[in-house]
Amino acid sequence: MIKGRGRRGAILQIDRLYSNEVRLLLGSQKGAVEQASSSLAPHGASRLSESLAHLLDALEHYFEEYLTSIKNSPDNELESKTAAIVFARYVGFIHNQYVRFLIPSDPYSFPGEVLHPIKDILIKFGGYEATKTSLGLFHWDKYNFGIIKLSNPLDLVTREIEDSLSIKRPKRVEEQVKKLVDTLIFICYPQAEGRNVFLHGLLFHELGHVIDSKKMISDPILKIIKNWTGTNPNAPSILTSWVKEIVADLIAIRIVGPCVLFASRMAALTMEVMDNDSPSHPSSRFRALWMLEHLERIGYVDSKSDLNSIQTIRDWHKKLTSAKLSPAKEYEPFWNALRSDSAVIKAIHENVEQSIGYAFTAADFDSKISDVLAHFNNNLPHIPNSAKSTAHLASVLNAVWEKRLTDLASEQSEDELFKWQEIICGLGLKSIEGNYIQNIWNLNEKDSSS
Amino acid sequence: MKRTAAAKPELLGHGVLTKAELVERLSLKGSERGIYLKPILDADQIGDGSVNIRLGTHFLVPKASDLGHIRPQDMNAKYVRGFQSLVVKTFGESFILHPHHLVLGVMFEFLALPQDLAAIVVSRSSFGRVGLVVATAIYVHPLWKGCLTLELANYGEIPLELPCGAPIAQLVFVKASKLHTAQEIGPTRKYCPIRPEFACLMEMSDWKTLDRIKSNLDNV
Repeated sequence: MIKGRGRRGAILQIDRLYSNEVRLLLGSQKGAVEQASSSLAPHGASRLSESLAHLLDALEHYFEEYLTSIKNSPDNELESKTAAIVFARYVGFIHNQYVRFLIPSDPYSFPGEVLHPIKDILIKFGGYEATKTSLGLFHWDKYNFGIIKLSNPLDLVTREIEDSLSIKRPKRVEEQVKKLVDTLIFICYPQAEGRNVFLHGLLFHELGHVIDSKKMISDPILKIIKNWTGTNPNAPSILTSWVKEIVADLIAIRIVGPCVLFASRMAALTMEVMDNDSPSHPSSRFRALWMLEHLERIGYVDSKSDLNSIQTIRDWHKKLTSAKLSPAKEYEPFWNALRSDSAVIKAIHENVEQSIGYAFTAADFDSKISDVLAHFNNNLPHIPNSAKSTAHLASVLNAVWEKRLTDLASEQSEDELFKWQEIICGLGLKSIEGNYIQNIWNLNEKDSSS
Repeated sequence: MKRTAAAKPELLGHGVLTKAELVERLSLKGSERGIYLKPILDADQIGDGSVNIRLGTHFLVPKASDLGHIRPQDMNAKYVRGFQSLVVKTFGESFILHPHHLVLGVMFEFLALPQDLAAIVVSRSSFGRVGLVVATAIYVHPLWKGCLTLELANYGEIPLELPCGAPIAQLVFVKASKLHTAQEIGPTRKYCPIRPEFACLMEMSDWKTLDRIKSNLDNV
C-alpha cells in the first residue's frame, strides 16, 4: 500500500521504490551495452550483438523518457503505480532476455565462415526478409545446439507500455526503431564444437525450426493425428514438440543432405539420447528413421553409388525400417500416433517437400562429392571458380563426412585419425568461406561494372 | 684413362617465374607441377613474377599482460594466449593497425606449392610507402600447404586501416634447384593452417643445447 499525500507524495514513493531497481537494471544493461560496443569479438555474434547493443541503448533512453513521462503524468495514483510496476517488469524482462546476447562468442571456436551462407539459406528457404532479419551465431555453455528467435524488443515494449500509458513515442526513439531489424535469430552452439564441421549439420536442424515457424509446416500435421491412445495430459504439447523436431530434421536433410543424419547420430552418442525419448524430443533412433525415409524419397537408398556415405545410408535404412523398435511404455502412444497412420507419415514428408521444394538429392551427392573429396585427400580446400552456394555448402559438409567414414574404415591409428579430422575441419571451413567470397566478389564486380 | 661423366642430379631452371609460367602453373589441376592458390578473385592479381595476395579475416593481436618478457622457449598454445588474443573480422571489414604495432594476420588465399617451387612473401611497395611491412619471415618452402601467417607491422606514425580482402602483399615464386620430397620437408606438410599461427618455439631442439652450454660456461 503506497502512502503519501496526494499525487506528488505518491509519485515520490513510487519513484523511491521502483526507480532504484529500474536504474540498477539500466545501469548493468548500460555496462553490458558499452562492453559489447567496444569489444573485439567476432562478427556474427558481436555484430548482431552490436545491433542489439544499439537497440538496448535506445531502450535505455526510452525507459528514461517513460520514467519522466510517468512522473509528469496526470493525477492518478493508481495509474502511476501500475505504470511503474509494468515499467520495471519490462526492464527486467528485456534485461534477462536480451542482454545475455551482448556477450561476445569465443573467437577461437567461432565458425564465422558459415554465418553468411547460413543466412543466405534462411532468406532463400525461410521466407525472411534480408533487411529485416539479423542472424548470429552464439556460443553457450550447454552441450547442445539450439535456436533463439527474438522479436524486436522495442516493439514489445512500445506496444504494451504506450497502449497502457497512452504515451507518445519520443522522436529520437522513433528514429532508432526505424533503423532496427524486426527479428533477431541466434543459432546457439556448444562452445567446444563451434569449428567441428562434422556437427554443422545440426546448425541446419536449428535453421529448420526457424523456417518451420515462419512457413508453419508442422502446424497442419497436428490436426490430422488421429491414432492417439494414451492418457498423458501433456500429449498435445509433446506431440507438437516431436513433430517440430522431425520437421526440422527433414528440412535440414533437404537443404544439406545426409550430413544432418550423421551429425545427429554423432551428437546422440555424446548426449545419451540414442534410445531415450523425452517430452521435448523423440529419441535419436526414431528421428533417424524419419530422416532415412526422407533420404529414400530423394534417391539415396536406391542410389547405386559405392561411396561410403551412401552405403551407410542403405545399410541403416535396411536395418532401421525392418527393426522392431520398442520405445519406453510411456512414449508408446506417441510413437503409435505418428507411425501407425500412413496418412500422418505421408503428410509429414509431403509438407516438408512442398514447402522447401529444393533438395540436395542423391544425384547431386554423387556428382559433386568426389571432386571435393579428392581435394581433401590432397589436403586442399575445394574452392571452385563459381558454384551455387547451397549446393557447394552441402557438398563440403557431406564430403567431410565421406572422408571421415572412409578414414574410419581404414587402419589409421587414433592419433592419426584425430589429426586428420582437425585438418579436414579447417579445409571444410576454408572451402565454404572461399566459395562464398568468390561468389559475392563476382556479383559485386558485375554490379560495379554495369 | 677414360673419364666417365658422373651422374648429375636433375638440374631445374632457376629464377623467378614469368607471368606466362605463373598463369600456366596456376591453371594446372591435379598435376604435380601445379600451384594451388585459391581463390584468385581478380586476374589482375597475377603479375610478372609475382601474385598479389589478400589479407584474411583472422588476427592475433597482442594484449595487456603481466608478463615481464616473452620467453621463446616457453611458447606453447597456453603461454601464447596469455599475451595474444584472436580477433575475427569479416571480409571487407577493416583492421586498424596502430603505429609501431606488430600483429599476426593471415593470407586469405590457400596456397599449395609443388615440389619444384618455393615462394617468397614480400610487402607491396604501395603499402610499404605508408609504413606497412608485411612479412619478416619470408621464405615458403616447396610443398607448403595452407594459409600463410603474415607478420604485419606499421612502421609509420599514423594508424593504418587495412580492409580484409585488400591485396597487401605479394608472393614471388622461384624455381628450386631440385625436386623436394615430402620426406625431406617433414611432418609439417600435413598441417594446413587456415588461421594465423603463433610460433611453436618451444619445440625447437636448440634450447636444451643452449642450456647445457650456458651451464658449462657458467661453471668456468
